[in-house]
Amino acid sequence: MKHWYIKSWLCAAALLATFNVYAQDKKVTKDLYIATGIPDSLKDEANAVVRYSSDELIVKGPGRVTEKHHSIVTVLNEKGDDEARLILYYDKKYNSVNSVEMIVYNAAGVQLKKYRKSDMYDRSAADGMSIITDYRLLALGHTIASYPATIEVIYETSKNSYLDLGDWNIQEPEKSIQYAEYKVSIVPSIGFRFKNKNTGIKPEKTVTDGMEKYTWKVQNIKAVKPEEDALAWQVFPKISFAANSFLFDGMPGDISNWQNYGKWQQALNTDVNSLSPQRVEEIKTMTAGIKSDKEKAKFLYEYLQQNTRYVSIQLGIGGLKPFPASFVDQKKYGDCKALANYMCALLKAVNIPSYYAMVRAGTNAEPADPSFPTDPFNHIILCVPFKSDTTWLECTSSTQPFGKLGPFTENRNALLITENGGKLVNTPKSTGIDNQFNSEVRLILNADGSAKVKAKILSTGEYRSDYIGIASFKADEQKEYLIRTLNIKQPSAFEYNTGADKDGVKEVTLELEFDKFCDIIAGNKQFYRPRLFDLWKTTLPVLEKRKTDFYFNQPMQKACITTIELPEGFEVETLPVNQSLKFSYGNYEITYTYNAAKNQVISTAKFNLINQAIPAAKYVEMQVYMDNIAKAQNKKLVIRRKA
Amino acid sequence: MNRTIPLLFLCLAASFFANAQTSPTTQPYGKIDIADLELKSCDFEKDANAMVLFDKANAYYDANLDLAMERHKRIKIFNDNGKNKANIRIEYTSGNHYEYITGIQAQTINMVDGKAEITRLDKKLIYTERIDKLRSALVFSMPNVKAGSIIEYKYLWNTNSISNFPDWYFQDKIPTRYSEFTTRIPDFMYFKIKNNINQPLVTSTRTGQGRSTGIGNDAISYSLDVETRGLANINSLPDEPYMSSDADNLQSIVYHLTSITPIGTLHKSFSDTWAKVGGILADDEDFGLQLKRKLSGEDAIIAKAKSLPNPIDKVEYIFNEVKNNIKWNGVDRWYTNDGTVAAWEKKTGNSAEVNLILYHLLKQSGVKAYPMVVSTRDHGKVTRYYTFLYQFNRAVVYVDLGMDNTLVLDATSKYNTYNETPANLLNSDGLYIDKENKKYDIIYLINQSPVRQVTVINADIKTDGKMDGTAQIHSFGYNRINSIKHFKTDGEKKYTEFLRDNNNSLKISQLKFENMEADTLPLMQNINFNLDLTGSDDNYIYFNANLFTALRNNPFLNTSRTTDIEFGYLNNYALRATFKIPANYKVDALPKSVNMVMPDSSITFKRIVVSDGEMIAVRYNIDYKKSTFEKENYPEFYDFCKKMYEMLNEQIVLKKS
Repeated sequence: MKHWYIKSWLCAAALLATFNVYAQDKKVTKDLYIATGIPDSLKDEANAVVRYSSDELIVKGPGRVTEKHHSIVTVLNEKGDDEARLILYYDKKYNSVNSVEMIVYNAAGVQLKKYRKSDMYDRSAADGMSIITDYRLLALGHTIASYPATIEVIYETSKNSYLDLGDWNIQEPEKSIQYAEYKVSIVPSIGFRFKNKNTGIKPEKTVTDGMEKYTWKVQNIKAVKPEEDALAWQVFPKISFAANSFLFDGMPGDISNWQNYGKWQQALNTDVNSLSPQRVEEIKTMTAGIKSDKEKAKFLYEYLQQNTRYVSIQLGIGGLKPFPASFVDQKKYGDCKALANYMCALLKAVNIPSYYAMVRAGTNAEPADPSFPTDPFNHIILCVPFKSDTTWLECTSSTQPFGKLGPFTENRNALLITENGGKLVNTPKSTGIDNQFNSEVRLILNADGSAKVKAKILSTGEYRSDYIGIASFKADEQKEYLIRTLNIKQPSAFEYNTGADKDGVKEVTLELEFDKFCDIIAGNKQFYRPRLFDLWKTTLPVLEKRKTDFYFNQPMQKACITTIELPEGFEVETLPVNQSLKFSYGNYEITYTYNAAKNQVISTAKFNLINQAIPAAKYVEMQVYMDNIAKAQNKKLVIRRKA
Repeated sequence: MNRTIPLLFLCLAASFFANAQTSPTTQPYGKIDIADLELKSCDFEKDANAMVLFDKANAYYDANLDLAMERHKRIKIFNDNGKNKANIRIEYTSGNHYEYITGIQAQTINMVDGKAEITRLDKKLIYTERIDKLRSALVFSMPNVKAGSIIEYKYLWNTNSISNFPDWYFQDKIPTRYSEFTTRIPDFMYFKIKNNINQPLVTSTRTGQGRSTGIGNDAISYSLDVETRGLANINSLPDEPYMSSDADNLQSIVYHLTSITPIGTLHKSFSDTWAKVGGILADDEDFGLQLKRKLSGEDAIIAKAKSLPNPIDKVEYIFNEVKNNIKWNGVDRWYTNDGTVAAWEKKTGNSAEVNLILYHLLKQSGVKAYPMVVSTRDHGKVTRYYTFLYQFNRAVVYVDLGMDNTLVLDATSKYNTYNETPANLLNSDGLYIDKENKKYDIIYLINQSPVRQVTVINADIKTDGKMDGTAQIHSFGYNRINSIKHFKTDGEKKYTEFLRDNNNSLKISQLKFENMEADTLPLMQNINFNLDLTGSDDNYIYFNANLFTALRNNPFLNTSRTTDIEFGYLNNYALRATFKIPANYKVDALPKSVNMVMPDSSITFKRIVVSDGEMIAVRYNIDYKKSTFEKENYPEFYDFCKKMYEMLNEQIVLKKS
């Protein structure tokens, strides 16, 4: 019993000691807890103000990391409520949460409530994508009753495995900073590195007790509200950290360069990328009649697409090691790692080399920094290095055409895991030709204002993905999706058919009937918007000054040829004017011709966007251009009964 | 009670399937029809990517009165888009061994060379996810799944609670060919059953099985009621605009144990009438006993309220005091958690805490108020014959002002007002508690007055194809509440963009609100705008009078409908617009004046358009006489909406003279 008392007393003392460190920090003064002291400049555009924030990363050796966090944040309004919610992730093997405290103060700095680790809700960290993971989370939430309120958060976490040392995301959207610091204490032998992004701040460096200590400080940073269709990673300041020597699950590695990091991943994968000799023989037999390696690869990629499905299961070594190729071969499912590794094994069976490729996925996601090796990757694809014809495969998709990646992984770099270690190479650039929407519409107008329409759309790339994507919808939902996205008038009858999907070109047809296609009938005249759908729908808000670059998901080429058959006995009264609009990164054209002999109006519309990234300086030009497209598409065709 | 005595089954009944239909039905585990393997689509829902071939369960009390359920489910995958149905997740309440799953088996069946090929699930690949302290899930992904595969699994669900009878859902998010639920319940246990089944049972049997427990002189006989219900060809439940909750719509059967009269003496009685439920509530530590607890600093509020002459003024004052002083923490319960005193201290609480505080202050101020439990729209409607407290998920306050003037108060939302029953509580029942008079009664919450929105427009059309004018939007009742909420949560910039419908041709130079703080008056928005009429050309000017109304896009584009449309209350829209024609233009085309009425007169639409050559006057009126439109009458409703939106968007044409 006595022992127990002593032990618990020691624990309490240790805890007190920890908090004393903070209490003694001269920077944490009483006025930080009082909301009235915030300068107005820090309230502008802010939902919360970081009064004080201190993080300390202590790395005593590879795989020995402790992080201490202490922050005081004043919440100004309901949009800042997230500051009173704390989520800390952990798992059974690598990451632990040692201690947590969250204290809530009112505007005057009077303590209202104190939460501890034991108050936290512990649950599995389902991410919505994976059916199961090893990760768990601890969560705490406080309902702020009145504003402003101040939230103090103190916690300590530790881990025994890491690849890199993460980032300091200095600022978040709509949050200003009165004072924030980040400290790294690290043993010099493991080769500490750091890299700035969107900031020029420099650390103070000292050496004590054989540990190097770096300290970064910022103060009085105004809140920033991100602009729409901008990329956060291009705007917000951060510092990335890494140590050349790392340890993950007891396995040491070196990440001082991409090559060595690749070697570590390669070692992890060596025992999982083979198939049984019998299966190898079967695969050889399957492909025996196919001449070129590229054709064989295409055959095997389609075999993969037809036979496996994507199921995300993140268990085991931090979700880093793929399930064995033989597992996928038997069970017919796997996650991105497992499917890419399996595809690699299929190709290996027919002596085609390919590389497991690590990439940061997501539309317009940030590329890895070539000069600063870390592990920013969250997805695996496969690279097949045919001579002067490098081919990339997205192995999680059962519908992607052979050799096409799409905006999810294009326009960045990927780390190939080769026999000689890692090699950072670029993934392909997105092009308009890869994202085409070509349509032909035949509009048959009747004298009573009703109409019959047939439309055919041939799509590639992202447009193809859209039409393939809606195949999983119910029939009614598909039609509603088309009516809303293409901005079609509500039809009285609608047949939607998906046609061939060949060589990356998807064909769909729409057959519609309208009781009233005509906008207005007045005496002998009829007024029409002479189109089935809008070729381009987006318009942009007028801004005083755009600060950041604007991003579309991908470049594109769109076209529509519309043949309008006028009702018998009618002729054109007014034809909409032809227009040709241009801006720095694209153009829009529309022409109308009237063939009196056939009594047809033929319109040809084209929209091209040659680059998905639009510099901030070109925003106004683009905004005006898109307004003009909207106006051009709104012009009317007037027909009248022949005299 | 000796619960280990062996049992004797005396089977008096014929087999379950004595009058089962020939098709569809269930099959034993592992026995598969080739026809099902060859099946290409669901007969009654052609566009389904997967379907449940059957889902069969048998919930029973064994001789020891332990409750368990055998379940066997079989799913057909039609195409690649249905493959995610092969990822199975079975959640259960694992805390304190309350529920647990045993005997799980699963397999995939494919057709290979005209024969069924079975791939069993490797038991090692069944993962147990400990979701939190209370819940767990068994998670697995079926092997060897392709388009055309059938997967099936079975397990035994066990519970250590005699009253934890499982709910049964016949309907799913994919179509179900056959769903069957069998219950085996000793005749001394009494259940209330909530039956949400709206298609005919294809299997319906009820038999008794004699059973006895004990030996020799101690042997006791009772009967086991065996009941089987089966439904066939059940459509999937989609998400449709203006449908009420999933709970209201999913076809299901729910059992609630109300009493046990076992052989012998023991008699337990649970809630089998609303009066009993009310009585239980009145005495509940987390409900009834909270009502009289004194709140710190309440005297000042009560004194101020008492000084006000009219009851309605007291209600208004206290409602706003509570609304502004305590914040709802987002948790909906009919019972308190920390208690009213603690919640008042912390200035935050769950819905029961917030509103029981409101009740307490009203009562102390002399207002005739009663606590009431209700169910929110998302939680599902209260079924009257099913006297079970957990049908409710929120406590509110019911106020009787006399002269048939009653109020339902809910202070959980900053945007609620004391004079409107919150829209998300309408069209369901509330149970109010009048402990003094021991009166516990169910009341249907409904709002039958039209909820109006009136838009008035005055604009000049300019020769350069522009429109310049003012608009006033008058919003009453729920429209008022919704507009204020929208404005305050999104901010002025986003709200203005919403008013403009993101149309860059429309510019709002001024937006002013009136009566934002006066709950009893309509909200008025005064707008100055100019609009570029972009369709116009050298000869013609085109414009649409339907500006600044809530009626832009028809939400009802689907030609079919699975659930009833429930607006919740009676909408009433009006537009009164006057446009001045520019000097050198004349009217070329005017929409016709129209009067359109639904066959059952439930909606009327009126459009009047007149011009004297200088001005054009437009009036639209839409009046709903019903707030619920049954799915059976959807074709008429669909046609009406289509025509109405066409007419709302019909344009006016001016021509240069």
